[in-house]
Amino acid sequence: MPSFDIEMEGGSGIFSVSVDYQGKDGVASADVEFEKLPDNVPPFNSYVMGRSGYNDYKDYCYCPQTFVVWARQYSRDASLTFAHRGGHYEKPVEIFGSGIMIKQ
Amino acid sequence: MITSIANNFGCGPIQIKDYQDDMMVVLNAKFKVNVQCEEYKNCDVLEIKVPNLSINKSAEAGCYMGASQLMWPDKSWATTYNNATCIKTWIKDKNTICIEKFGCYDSLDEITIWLCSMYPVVGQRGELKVYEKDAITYEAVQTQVRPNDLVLVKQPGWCFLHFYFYSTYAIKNGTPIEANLKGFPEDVDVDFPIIGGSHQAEVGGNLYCNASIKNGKFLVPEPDSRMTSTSYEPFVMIYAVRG
Repeated sequence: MPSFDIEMEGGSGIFSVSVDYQGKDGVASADVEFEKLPDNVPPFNSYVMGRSGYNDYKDYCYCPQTFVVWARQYSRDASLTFAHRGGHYEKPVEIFGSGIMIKQ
Repeated sequence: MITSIANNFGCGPIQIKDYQDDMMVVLNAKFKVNVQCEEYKNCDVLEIKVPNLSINKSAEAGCYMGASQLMWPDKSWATTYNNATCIKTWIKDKNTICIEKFGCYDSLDEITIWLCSMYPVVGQRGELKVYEKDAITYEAVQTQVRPNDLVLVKQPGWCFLHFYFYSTYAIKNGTPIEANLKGFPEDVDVDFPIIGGSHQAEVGGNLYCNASIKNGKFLVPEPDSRMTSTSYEPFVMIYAVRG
């Protein structure tokens, strides 16, 4: 993910995201790894939308998709995962918008 | 309900269902835009002027845009494809809702925009909270399809729903997709697209069908069998206003 911008709105449970998702082969998800998540970030899932970038075959242009995002704190590191859910999976994807943070 | 005061893309007054508080605004609307009119051609961002909103500015949200294209009009196999994609929307100030002008359907006559969107206020400090999921059951009435990743969050004034169909072989032209959503609030009446299907149009996006939820009943009155194409996984993701 060469470009990655997230914001969690304090006082509420809302997650805003702008991600240039390149993905990887063989699995329809990608992770961002951290040393540690901030202490005040609870475990959550959030659903956001995205659309694929231009491809030579027109049927694959701007495919709308949904992604579920989850944060996990492990003993040695932490990660934020973007996993494809609905729509035709075609990458790269511009993931954007806001989603509520839902208890895992 | 909000009635828009003006817009910069040549549309008449737009009726928008709304939920508003200090932290977010949820909007539901469906309207058509003539993309060949001068006002639309001259704007960079679609702006809808409305009476005072509860927040000054929002983070980006998502909404849907669709259009129809008739292919091979003079052939016996002439076919209309309804395609849709998702686009960005945000609140610029207390009186302005903005929608990304994403030109992938500008060669056609008309686009449809669906707002099923949640606009969060930005720059707030405070403890992060998480929403609890609510129980929901999809009971198929017509067309035996089963939803995956079925998630409902109910709050006073609004709700969030997500699901997608992984196995779509039961979808047929002429047979509605109809289901009772047990647990879904019965005070919601919302229109939206269900998107996911192959097409041969000369524009982007994926095939969509019109869908609605009213009195807890999910309905796609005219499904398209092209939604059965492998890996297209038609989905629903909406924020809906209650009441």
